[in-house]
This record gives sequence, structure tokens and C-alpha cells, in this order.
Amino acid sequence: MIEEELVRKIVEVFSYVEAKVKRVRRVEVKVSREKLPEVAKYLRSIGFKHLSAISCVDRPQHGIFELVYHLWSYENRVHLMLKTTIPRNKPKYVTMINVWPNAFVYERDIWEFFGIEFEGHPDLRHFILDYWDDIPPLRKDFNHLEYIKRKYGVYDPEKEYYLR
Amino acid sequence: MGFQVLETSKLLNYARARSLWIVTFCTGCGGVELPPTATARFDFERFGIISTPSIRQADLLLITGYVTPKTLKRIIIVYEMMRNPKYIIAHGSCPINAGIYWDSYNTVKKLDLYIPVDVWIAGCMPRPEAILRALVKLMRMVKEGKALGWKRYLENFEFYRKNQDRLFGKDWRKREIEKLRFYIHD
Repeated sequence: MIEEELVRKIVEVFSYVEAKVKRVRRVEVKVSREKLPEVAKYLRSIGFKHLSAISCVDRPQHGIFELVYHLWSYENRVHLMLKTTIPRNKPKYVTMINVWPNAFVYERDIWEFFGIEFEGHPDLRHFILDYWDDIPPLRKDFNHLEYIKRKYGVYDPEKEYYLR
Repeated sequence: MGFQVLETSKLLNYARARSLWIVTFCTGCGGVELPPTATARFDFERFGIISTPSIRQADLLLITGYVTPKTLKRIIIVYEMMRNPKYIIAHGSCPINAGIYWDSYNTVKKLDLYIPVDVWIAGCMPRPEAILRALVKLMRMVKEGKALGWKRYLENFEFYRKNQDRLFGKDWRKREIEKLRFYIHD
């Protein structure tokens, strides 16, 4: 099977990665954050040219952010998830623009919604949240209701109006 | 004096009600309902309504769904660029009280605090029949001289301005102009 072949190939080159086949056409690779850039470059060179998305998972109980790079190989038709974790307070990571140029957009998006600074990213500006004045909204400790009450006001059923 | 004649003239109101031009501007999901309303099956052009890309020549602004603060800035700019008299129809439950986005951090909860709305359509999403009904109702209101949202905006400008400033920060108009400066030719 092409998936197992890929896993064998990756583990041969980098002995420190955890790679396994999730199911048909789905491979998962876990790397520590220092080693991810070189693994990413290697994966790019063996055909994972398409970066479909970067997703970020907030895990406050473990004190980490989990970054998942979703890669697609046109030759092998395999979806590879390249996973790494970074610490939660003052999160920083290196940019992947030199490997996949379209990481520009995804990193800007993650910076906006999770507050992860990508070192080397040329243009970290807000996409959607103009002049945002709170902690990034997709973090688990962001208090929606408190923010809404402060920003938009509260509905008062007696006066039938929104109060601030 | 001339202003009052404009407001009360029955002939002008009659004419206005039959040539409402819509700004081609959609927010949220309600824009999907406009093509069927505009084209052969429901065809709002039989009421004299057409959509125009020019803001200065338009009379009617449709808010077709949820409004985020970023969109609201554009809506306010567009609304203030339109000539008097001007009318607003708000589609769906999102502009009324944010509907299913009641706990969203980026959706304006009550649109009427920021700009004056003439006709509300309830429902999520209103079908083209409901939009046509609202348009007919607005036409009747214009004909009778009751659609006075634009006048409300002028009279209570302080109130609207205060709410807008509270949401965006005091100098948001200046900052928006700075963004547009690149596109302005003198």
C-alpha cells in the first residue's frame, strides 16, 4: 500500500518522527516543533506540494496549541497531517512561507484568531476583526458573553431596548 | 422651504414610490434570495425597481443578513453617500436581534442602533415572496410619506453617531478615510 510505503520512507529518513496510517489515504505524522521545518522541506520534496490548510487546536488543560499542516500529494493521492505542538503562553513559531508560499494566508488567519506570532511572516495584519481589543476570540478562555455585553450591550426586556 | 415641499409633495412621493433603485450591495446569506426576486419568476422590475451600481443615484439599501462590525462601517459609509430621501429594508432575523448569532463576538446585535431601518422582514431566510411584500409595503409607505428613516437619521444624528463611535472607537471615520486614500484621485 502506498500509505505504508510513505510511512516507512519518512521514518527511515527521520528516526524521531511518529508516523502512522490513520486509514486509506490518510497519514498522520507527529514531530517536535524544532524538527518540523526540515521534515516539511523533505515532505515537499517527495511530492506533498499542496498545503490545503493549517489548523490550530487550543488545549488549555495541557497548556499547548496544536498546529496541524494538512498536506496533499497529487502523485500518491494521500492526505498527510503534519502535527506539532507549541506552548500556550506567548506562542511563537517559524513561518512556512519558504516551503509553501500559500502559508501566508493561513498563518495570518491563525495569528488573528489564536494570537500565534509567526517569525519571518512579512505582513501580520487583521483580516476580519478590525481594531480588535481583546484576547484572540477562538482561544478557549475567551469569554464570549462578557465581550458581547461590553461591546454590543444587553437586551433589557422591561425597556425593550439594548442597554450599555 | 424647498425642503418641506420635497417632503410633502404628493406628486414627488408618487413618483419616488415607483422608481426605487437598489444599491447593489449584499451582506450575509440573503443575497442569494435577490437573483430570483430580480429575475423572471418574481421580477421586481415590474414595480419599477432595478439595482444600480451607483450609490449616488440609488434610493434603497438592502441589508440582506447578518452584519459584522467591518461590514457595518461600509454600510454606514454607503448610506451616508446616498442622496435624500433614502430607505433601508432589513432582511431576516439577524439585523433584528442577531438571530442564531446571538452569542457571536463579531455580529452586530441590533442594527437599528446604528442606522435607521424602514421595513423589517422577519424569518430566516425570507423567501422572495416575503421580500416582494416588504418592497410593496415600502412603496406604500413612500407614497403616503411615512418612510422617514432618512429624516430620523438627520434628526437623531447624535444618537446614531454615539452608538457608532462606541462600537468602532472615536476616530473610526478618519481611519477609514486613511484606508481609502490610495484610491482617491484629486
